[in-house]
Amino acid sequence: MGPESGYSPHLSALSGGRPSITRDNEVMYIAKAFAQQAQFFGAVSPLSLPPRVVSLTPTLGTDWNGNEAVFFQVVLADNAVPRTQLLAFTKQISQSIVSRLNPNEEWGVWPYFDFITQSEQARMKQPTWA
Amino acid sequence: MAYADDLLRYARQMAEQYPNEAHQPSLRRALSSAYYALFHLLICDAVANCADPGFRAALARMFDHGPMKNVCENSVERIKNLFHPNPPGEPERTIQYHLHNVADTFSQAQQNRNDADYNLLKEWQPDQVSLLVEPIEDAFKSWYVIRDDQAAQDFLISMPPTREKKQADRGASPKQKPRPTLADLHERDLSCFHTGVHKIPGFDADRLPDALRDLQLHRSRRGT
Repeated sequence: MGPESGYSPHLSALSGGRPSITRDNEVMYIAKAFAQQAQFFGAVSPLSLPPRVVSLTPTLGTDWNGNEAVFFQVVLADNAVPRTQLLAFTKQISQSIVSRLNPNEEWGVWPYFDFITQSEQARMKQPTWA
Repeated sequence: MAYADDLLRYARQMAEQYPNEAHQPSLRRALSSAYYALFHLLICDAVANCADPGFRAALARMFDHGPMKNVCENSVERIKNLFHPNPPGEPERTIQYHLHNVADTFSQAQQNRNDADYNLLKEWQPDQVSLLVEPIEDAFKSWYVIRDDQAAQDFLISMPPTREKKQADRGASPKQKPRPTLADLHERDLSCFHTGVHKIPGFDADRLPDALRDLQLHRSRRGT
């Protein structure tokens, strides 16, 4: 039996066969950040952050609600700022990223931030049996 | 002290219970409790105007995580646009700043709560959790500043899900039709499996669910 009799829209699309006539024709929305990942990550990398920020790692995914999201992990140097100023410091970083990257309006992804210190991140990389 | 405040205090205790150890149950409880503290703070204020305690409790059950998060995200975007290019004057500026703080924190905290409760692959660290609980404590302070303001009341009123909002949400993110399950297939004539659908005269493949067609193709490739 050939592919025509056992028609699959997935394979048809891949092989350039006849277009799907049975799937719903609703337009599927893909966030720009997903469709143009190289450009998105390219837009994140030049963001200049305070020297006490060791690294900024964006990861594209979906949040619990199924909406497209970008998860930023920000690694801070140990004792980067006094503990009492840490909240203001992290807010400054996240607001700076949001205002310059405009992830929701420009790239269609909602930003989430996770701040971790360098020593805690190193601890996480250790195997659990160590 | 209100339940939300108790819950927030409990979250802080959990976050600091094992300062030198990544004690996952405590850290996860801390994140979850901190989120629920903010969740209940907003709901408590939203239903506070209702005099009857029984009705208040029923009203509080109308609030749902997803719609509340959507309202918060919309508020964050609205306030962000309000401040660009020219921020509003006082006291509007302060009010919107605090409202933004609450809405943004709620959205972030809800995602963290879901990770804490369900994503066991993620390992949490004490300082990391502390840094996630602290914004919620700050959001409490912001809320106490603006809770009686009209903007805060409007924010609360927009939170319960309505039929219009549900329809709008459905329109904004059309969900894919679920693929048929075996139970769906059982409701149909399964004799085609045994006789081979391609041999049935006048058979219309388009009337079969996708799963059946895929299975048919799979079988044809295997030569069975």
